[in-house]
Formats: sequence, C-alpha cells, structure tokens
Amino acid sequence: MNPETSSASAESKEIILAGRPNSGKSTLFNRISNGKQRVANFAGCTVEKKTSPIFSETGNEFLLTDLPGLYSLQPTSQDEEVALSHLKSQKDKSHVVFVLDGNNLKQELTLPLMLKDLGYDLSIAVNMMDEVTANRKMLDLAGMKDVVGVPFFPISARTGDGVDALKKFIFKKNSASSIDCCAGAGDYSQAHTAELFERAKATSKRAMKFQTSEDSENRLLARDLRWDSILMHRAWGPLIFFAVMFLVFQSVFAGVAPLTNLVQMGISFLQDKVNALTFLPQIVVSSLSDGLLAGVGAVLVFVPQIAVLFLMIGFLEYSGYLPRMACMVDRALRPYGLEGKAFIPLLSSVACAVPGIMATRTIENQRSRLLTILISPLMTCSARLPVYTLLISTFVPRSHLGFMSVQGLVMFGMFMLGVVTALLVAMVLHKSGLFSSKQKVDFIYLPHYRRPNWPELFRYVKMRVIVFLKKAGTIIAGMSVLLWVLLSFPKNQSTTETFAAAGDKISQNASLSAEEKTAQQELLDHQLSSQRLQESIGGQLGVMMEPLFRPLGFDWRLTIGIISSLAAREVFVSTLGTVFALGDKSKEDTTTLTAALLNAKNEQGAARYTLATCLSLLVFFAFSLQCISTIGVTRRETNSWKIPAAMFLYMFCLAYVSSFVVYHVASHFL
Amino acid sequence: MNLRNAPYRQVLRVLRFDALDDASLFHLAQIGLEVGEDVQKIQCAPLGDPVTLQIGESLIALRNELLEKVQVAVGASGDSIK
Repeated sequence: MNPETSSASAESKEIILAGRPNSGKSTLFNRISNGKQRVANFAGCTVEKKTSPIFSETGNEFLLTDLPGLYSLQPTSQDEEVALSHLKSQKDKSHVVFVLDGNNLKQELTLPLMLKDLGYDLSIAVNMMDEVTANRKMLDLAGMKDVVGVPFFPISARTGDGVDALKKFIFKKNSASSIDCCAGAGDYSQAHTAELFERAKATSKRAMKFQTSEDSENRLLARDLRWDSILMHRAWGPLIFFAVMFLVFQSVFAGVAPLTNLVQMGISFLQDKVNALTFLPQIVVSSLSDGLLAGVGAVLVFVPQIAVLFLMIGFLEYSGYLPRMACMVDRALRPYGLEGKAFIPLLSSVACAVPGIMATRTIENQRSRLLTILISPLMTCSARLPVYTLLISTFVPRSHLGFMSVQGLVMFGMFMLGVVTALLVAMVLHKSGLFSSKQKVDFIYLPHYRRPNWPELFRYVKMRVIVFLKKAGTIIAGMSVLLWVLLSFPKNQSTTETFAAAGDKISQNASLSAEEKTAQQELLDHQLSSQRLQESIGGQLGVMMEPLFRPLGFDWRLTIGIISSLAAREVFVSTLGTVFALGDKSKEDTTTLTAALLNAKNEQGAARYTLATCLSLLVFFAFSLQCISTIGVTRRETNSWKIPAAMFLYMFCLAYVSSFVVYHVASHFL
Repeated sequence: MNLRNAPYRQVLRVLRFDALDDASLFHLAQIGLEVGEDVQKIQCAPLGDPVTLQIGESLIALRNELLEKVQVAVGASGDSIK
C-alpha cells in the first residue's frame, strides 16, 4: 500500500517511529509496513511525516507513522518542527518507538530519555546491530533496560533481524492496554528541556557502561577516515567530486543507446500494428497512432536515461558521499548566500525540483533556505532530460573527444549552465538584501560510508521510472490526445478539394514520367498535411502566438510545443511527436522525431531548424519554469503565492532574454 | 586556544564557549559538543572550511567561525576517544 495515500480508521492506535536523523526510521517503516518510503544515507532524507495502516496477526489495525529526524526538543529546522509537533499532539494517544543508531548510542540515548521523562509511552529500537556486531561492540541491552526503564530491542532494519520481536511487542502492548503515558502536554520550555537533558546525560552515562568493545579501535570510524582522507583530500577531493558529477551526466548518454533504440523499435512496431487495423475508421487509427503513440512514445524512449540518472543519484545518496560533497562545497557556496546543506536539495532537484524544494526543510537558516528554493528549479531536472536529449542527439554530432562523447559533454554543459546560473541568481538575490535572517549554529552530519542496499536502490529506480511512466500515461497521454484533436480539426473541405484537383492534374499530365509524378504527388501530400496542420485550431493558436517567440527563432510548431510544455516539460517532446506524425512530413526519413526535425525544410527548401534554434531552445528550457508541481510545492513550502509568482516571472524573463541573445549570436557566427 | 587553531588528530577537551547564545549552546550539546567533552579535529574540507570533527563516535563538520568560539585544551577528559 502506498503510505502517502493510505489512511487508517480514526480509532486505530498510532505507533510513531521517532529518532535522530539517519537512524534508520524509514527503513524500519518500510520493513514493518511493506512501504516504499525513500531511504538514503544522509540526515534529512525524510522531511515530512508518513503514515501507513499496519495489521497485527490477530487482525488489529494500527497506524504506523514515520517522522523526520529530531536532534532535540528545541527544533532548529522545519523538519524537526514537523516531528516534534506531531509527537506533542499525539502524546496521549500513541506509542513511540525511538529508533537509535547502535553505532552512536552515547549521543543518541539522551533524547528518548528526555521523552520518557516527559511521560511518553516509549520503547527503544537499537538499529544497525549488524554494523555494531561487525564493529566488535557488545551491547548488554537488558542492563541498559534496567538503567533506563524502557524496553530495548536490538534490530537491523536493513536485514530485518529483530524486527519481528519488536513488532510482536508493539502489537501486544497496544492491543492489550491503553497507552501507558502521563497525561498532559508537558513542559517543553528551554529551561526545562535543559534540565531534562542534564538528567538524561547522567542516565545515558550509566547505561553506556553496558556497552563494551573487543577492539580498541572503532573499525567503522577508522574506515570512514581512510575514505575521507582520499575523497575529501585537498587536491584529490575536488577532482573526484567533478569526476563523479561528470560521470553521472556522461552515463546518461553512454551505454543506454541500445535500450533507447529498443524502446523506439517497440513504439514503431506498435504504430505499424495500429496503422494496419484497416477495419477501424481512419480517424481512430490516426488518433491512436499519430496522437497517443507518437506523443507518448516520443517521451517513453527516455525511460532508460531516466533510470540511469536515478541509479546514479540513488547510489550517491546511499553511499554516504553526498554529505561529504555538501561539506566540500560549503565554503564555495557562502558568497552566494547559500550553505553546504543546500547541495543536497540542489542535487535532488537534478532528479526533480519537487523533492528538492521539500528537502530544503533541513536548512536552519531561513534566508539560505529561501534562496535554495528560488534557485532549485534552475537545476537540470529529469523532466528536462527528454528535451535536452532530443535536441542534443538531433543537432550535436555523435562524435567523441578522446574517450568522451561530445553529446555527453554538451549534456554536462547544460547541467553546468543550470548550476552557474543558479549561483548567479542566488548571488544577486543575496546581495540585494531582500532576504535576511538570524545566523544559526549549523553543522553537517557525516554518516558512515555504506554499500548501497541494491534491492532498495533498484526499488527506488523502479519507483522513479513508474512515476515517469504514470506521467506519460496520464498528463502526457492526455495532452497528446488533446493536441491530436487540436491539430487535426477542423478539416477544411476546400483545402482538400484544391489539393485533390492539383493531384488530378499531376496524374493526368502526360509530359511527366511515372517517377516525376510520384515525386510531385509526395510534395503535394506534404504541402496538404502542412496546410491542414496550419489550419487546425492548434496550428492557428501556434500561428497567433508565434510573433511572441519568433525573436527566439521558434516557428509556430515549436511555439505550440512551448505552450503545451507549461503542463510539464516532457510534453514539448510529445507535442513535436504529434506535430510531425500528423503532418508536415518531408520526403526524407521521418521515422524518428530526430530525423523529422533534422530533415524539416522551410518554404525555401533550407533546413527549418538549425543549431542556433537548438541552442536557443536548450537555453529557454534551461531557464524557464514550466512545471505546475514546482509552483505548487513552492507555494506550500513558503506559505505564500508571491514567491512562486516571482519565481515564475524571473525565470521566464531570464529564459526569454537569454534565448534571444543566444539565437541571434549563434545565427551570426554558426 | 580555540578549536580553529588547535592541532589536528589530537584529543582536545572543550573548556568553554565564547559569545554563543543559550539556544546555540544547547544545539551544540545535542550533538555532543559541550564543556568537558572530548573532540578531535580530523581534517578540513578542500577549501579550508568547514572542518570535520570527531565528537564521540560521530563525524560532524563545523565551520571555522564557530570553531573560533570554542576554547579547548590538548588532552582527554577521561573518556578518551577511540
């Protein structure tokens, strides 16, 4: 069941998973509820509460809640506030399973002890026991239980060890009795919290006597330090950093071409099959083949690239390297009013700006958070990928510079363009003094390096691909059919008659050879489909809007694509797929959208789209905000319409002016 | 000496904090950085800032401007860092 959309009955008792960031709460949540929450190896992966109904063996229903990480009872960031406010509101009605990282018990134990003192009904799950054992540490949890006064459960949410015992306990406890807590809200004032903290530290110190180690060295830490000495080295660190980022974008092009071709072949096969359904009315065949399949198919060919991108990002998220990258860029980001923690939301925005903007909740400094939100949509998101790939693979030669693919280099260049522009925008906004906030103590928690949990990683990739496919099956399919309707109707009878008469003249012209007749008829058919397209509602809309975009080098066909992509960027590709499937076909190869774009001719017989058009489009898509979801999430995260409105406006102006300049400069020199 | 100027890879005991408000002190205490505790400077980021510290059994990166406000002395408080 999808936790985000699920709900349980109002009477269900709630079991809350709380704990410090990166203690494995979401992994445990997934393990208990068969959920599909995103998990990763950095603090702040979960930034909002997630719930899912779960059932005991006897059929009792409970509500399982996964909270964002919490460092203390005095929250300093929005994700911590979400966690604490839920704990407070559910104190008398819930059982809290406090999830601890068993590798770091001394620091982790204080917060559950404070909650216990405040009267919460509590049990403690000591997670990552597989690592604790590998690190040759021994925990006498029975002894700790005697000191602390709450039950301890050794678990490994990753492997599932010990989770059944924990589940049995919470089901039994919550089925049998009422919640065992002290009524009342509790005193969360700073003074009282400080008192609680001192008491908790003393108890924690006593409990820690039950932790022993066979080894004088902490093997996990020693391994981290060895890796850090290479990956965060003054000289090698930045080189490795750029190499990793470069590899991510090279891999999007290299190696996936066979898969892309396979998908393309599948789509063409389906189109041929549909076109062969002669018993169906032509209008139905056309709507399926030229509308649905051409539109959706044009986007589906990018599934392999999307999968590779998410695999690479997922790998970084699981490895523990991501927070190190944040640490390395912290100093470099400061002149722009940003901080190292902004790196994780910005890299998440490479996948999608929506989770990226939500991930800014971990940034304590409000000015820095707002700046990060405002620039996140400038990062090269996966929705831009189909557009970039189409344009780059069409207009950039498929050659190599040494071992590097030129197309991959251009793709990396587009990524860098997004990054550089985002930084410049942040600097301008920062220097403008529009945003200010009190400086807070800030730190970056560096987790242990971990091998990716491959099944988890592949599930993450699968989920992202499914999200993409759902989008293709809903928004993009809907838009494709709508565009097919808009681009197919009305059918002007007089145009048909005029071209039919011209066709008759060609066939009756005795002075022409059979080959010449065929060629002229093909040209006529091309002109007819072009004329029909232009006369359609969509065509007229494109023609009407064309003057606005003509200075950027876009004709009415591209203009339709730009307008339709306001729903989602990928729709641009599906729109062009429909436009070129319906009409405007040249006699050259149009089997793929790439070929159709490359071979499209203007009235003078010259190439309709040039490298200048391509660059102008790339720049336009790099800077403009064509994503309703991003606008929505910005509204939610900033609690204001002004910020998303300002964001849309500045990005549109930036896109328009930049495309204008690029098109005219490129037309002059290329 | 302050933590910024303190040597790397040596156990340092936290003596006091300068010019930090209660909220910040409390925030730092939650991650184990408080008076009487031991820390070790591990390495600085390639651009010199922030600096990775070992606090207890965690690695945490803190900025130099904050490290300047932490007074330390070389030598463990008793619970030496492993």
